[in-house]
Amino acid sequence: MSAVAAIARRRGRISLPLLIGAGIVLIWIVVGLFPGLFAPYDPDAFDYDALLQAPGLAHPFGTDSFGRDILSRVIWAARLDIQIAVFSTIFALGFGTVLGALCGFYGGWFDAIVSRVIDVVVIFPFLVLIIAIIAFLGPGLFNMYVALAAINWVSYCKLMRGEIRLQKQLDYAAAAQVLGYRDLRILFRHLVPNAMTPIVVFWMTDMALAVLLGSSLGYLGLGAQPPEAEWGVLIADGKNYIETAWWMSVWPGVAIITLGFGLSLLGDGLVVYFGKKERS
Amino acid sequence: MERERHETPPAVLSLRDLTVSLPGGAGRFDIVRGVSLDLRRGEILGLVGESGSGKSLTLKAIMRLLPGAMQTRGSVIWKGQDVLAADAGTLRRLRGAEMSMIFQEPMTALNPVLSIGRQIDESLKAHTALDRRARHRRAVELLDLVGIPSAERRLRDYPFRFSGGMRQRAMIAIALACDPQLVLADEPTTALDVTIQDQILQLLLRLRDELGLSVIFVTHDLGVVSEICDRTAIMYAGEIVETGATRTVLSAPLHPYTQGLLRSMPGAASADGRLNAIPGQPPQPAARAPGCAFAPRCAMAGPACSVTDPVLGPVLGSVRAGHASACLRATDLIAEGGQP
Amino acid sequence: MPSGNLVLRRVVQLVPTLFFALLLLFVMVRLLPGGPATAALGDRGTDADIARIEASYGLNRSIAEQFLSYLWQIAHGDLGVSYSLKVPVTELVLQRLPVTLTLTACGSVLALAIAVPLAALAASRRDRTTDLILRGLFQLGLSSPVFYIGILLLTLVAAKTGLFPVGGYGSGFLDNLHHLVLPSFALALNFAAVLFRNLRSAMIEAMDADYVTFAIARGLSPRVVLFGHVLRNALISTVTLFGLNVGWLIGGAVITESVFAIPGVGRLMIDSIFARDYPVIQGLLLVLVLTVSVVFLLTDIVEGLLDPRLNR
Repeated sequence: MSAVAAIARRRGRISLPLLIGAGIVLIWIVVGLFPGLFAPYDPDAFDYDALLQAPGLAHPFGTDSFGRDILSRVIWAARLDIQIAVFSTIFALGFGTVLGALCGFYGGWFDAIVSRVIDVVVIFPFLVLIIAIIAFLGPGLFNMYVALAAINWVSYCKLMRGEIRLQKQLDYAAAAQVLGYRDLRILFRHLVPNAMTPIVVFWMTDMALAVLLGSSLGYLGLGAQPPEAEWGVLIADGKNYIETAWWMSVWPGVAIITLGFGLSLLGDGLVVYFGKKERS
Repeated sequence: MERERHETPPAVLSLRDLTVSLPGGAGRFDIVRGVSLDLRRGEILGLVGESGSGKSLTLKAIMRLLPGAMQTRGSVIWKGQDVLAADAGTLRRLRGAEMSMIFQEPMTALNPVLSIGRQIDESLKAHTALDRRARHRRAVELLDLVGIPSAERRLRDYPFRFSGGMRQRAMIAIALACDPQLVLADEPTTALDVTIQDQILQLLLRLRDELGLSVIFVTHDLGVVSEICDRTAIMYAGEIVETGATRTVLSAPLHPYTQGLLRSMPGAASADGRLNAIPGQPPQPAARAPGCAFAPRCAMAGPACSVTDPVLGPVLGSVRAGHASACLRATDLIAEGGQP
Repeated sequence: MPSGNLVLRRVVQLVPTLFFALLLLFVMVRLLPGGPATAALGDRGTDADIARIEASYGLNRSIAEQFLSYLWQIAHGDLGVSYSLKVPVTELVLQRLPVTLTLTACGSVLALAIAVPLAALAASRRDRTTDLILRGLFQLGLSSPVFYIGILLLTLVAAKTGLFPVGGYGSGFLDNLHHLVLPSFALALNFAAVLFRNLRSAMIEAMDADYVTFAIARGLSPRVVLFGHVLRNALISTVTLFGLNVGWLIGGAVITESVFAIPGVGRLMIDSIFARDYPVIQGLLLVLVLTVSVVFLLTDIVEGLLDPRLNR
């Protein structure tokens, strides 16, 4: 058996993690896009006749201290948490990959300066720095996105920089140069597309982390602000009732875990699908 | 009895019908098929074949180093004991103390983060009752034995500090730490420069003479075989197709595959200076047709060759004792003078 | 042994990074809206009041002057005075930091204790049922937010069994540890999942390596092969990973403290944020950056000890 054949067979393989991960994420996206179709109640409707109801037929996930239906609130919150997953990462991804590509391609003083900046950012504990920036800007989702964009580009930049430096050594890059293509054209038409695989894989993992981070900040009161329904905020709402009404906190947590689980499985599945060796 | 011992010393290692199989699409398929070999004390046996012919797997199967998914059948008799049937404790006592293995690439076969001395020491600890100082003395002695200068100092060095040849010597020293009598060498010179390669071969010959080692030497290089092997077995597609004294096999081969190998050696280029590669590719183990595995590539193949699976055996009319071939048309080869 | 050279080189590399980190911290605090005067007076203060308060904090001098005096103060261990608590920040930090460091250390040790044996088990049962179950469980662990695990532990374990306190830090070393059991678990689970994934693949890589086959071929006992070769080599990447993740770990500790009402720097940080107590935030960031630097340095040294190739 030749090694080449083995690798070729592996690329494009639809693995079980990929299917499960994609399935979970797809379900949440549909739920997040059309919460009205799935939520049995208005998520914000008070019902003073059904305060702190345990899960039952009328309210599968129970109700909170205002009689709001937990299931409906968890469903409506999906919209916000998916938005968090995307918005927390997409700006960092865009800025980081472009900057990383330029650094890896041109090197020199520009690369040296960016690398120094990365050194400085990396030495701050990530979450603490995010919290501090939000502290200065003021709590809220928008400021959370700003803080994450300001810090998280570093990961994408490092990843892209390394990939481009590798790609540059390959023959086809030299060939493109010989053909007289302009630098930027070579970089963004040829090198970057070939280097996107690890970026996409990391993006999945990063979105999983963003869901955890966003809900954590929501819980601490630094992210989404009540009365916005966000899973972390919902858990914080239920914290004081945890001994009498566990369902208030437990269900939003299950939602966080499933979405995070789905995203990271999807990332693992993509590693297999693209046939690249896993990186740590 | 008495006379027999004078003529041929008894085999220390006997493989009988050794077969290694792998689970595949529909059932299992064999990647090593019915290998039988005898190795005598003090003998160097060459096991020659292309990559993928199953020669390294055979070697690993002898010491039971194959991954669990590979199944091994047949028997490996070492000094009257079946290694394939040995329990874990016995196996561990055999490995290192009685039989040992040398690998192709010392850079990967030596643990990169442990000093050479430490790696010798852990072998000695596992198999001897020597105290720390005695083990240290033994380690120094071993580096001297394999020709590594300033042994005392080099024991503290890590593998990356050694040159390619010295690293190979260090690996041999580690493999020989507990005085094994059987050494299984898996292409130990392939990764080395030609001059260094020769030094290592000389070292192995010297060690064989000094320590009375029995060696199975796996290689794809017939030049190396002619230099150090007493006897040679040629492997193709998981089977032994020819075996005999090295001089006989190389000068009067009785299998078309061996002939092809000899013709394709760089030194044996044809008059117009072109290499004579054997046409075609070896069969995939999973897609083996009936009959002789070499038949599709063989210029001499007749209709019977793609029907009957030839058996390795002495060739009618061959005068050399112990020369065996697995070819239906071996007798015709003798008629042609056995010349490649 | 790592040469003194390596350590010295790392220290020298850290100096400019730390300097720029300080500059960043300083600029961040000065440039952002809503200064201390606003924090102290709310929206009702007159311009004169604001000017008086800003002068008392030295905020009316030039930025460069302020930065120099800031550096000067730090060099003397003076991190300023908390706006809201009227206590020197250094005093606050010294009081709170040991709590957080203890929690982080307990969490790390626990994570290692969970991850190492299970990774070894999973790697040796590669792709079999045990391995698949462990991988699935740790994947779930990786997706579970620290604060959620904390809340679950509080309800399910602390409140139900009464074996552990429902929060706080207690007094005295043993009592402190008792209070830290559940928080450490909450903190450890995520990190254990990260370690597990990395260690499992590193161990599988080692198990497939020739040097392990060679070790087995030499008749070394399974124990020596596992600890002396497989784990020995796989742990090098774990140390690297530990260094890379210490920032996350401290972040996790901040959240854990908030859930379990533990009086460490995390709680202090959150409280200071809502009080806009900038000297405290700045001081805490500084101290945490120093902590991370020290851990970076330590992991470099340990890596050098474990992998002689790094000292070339």
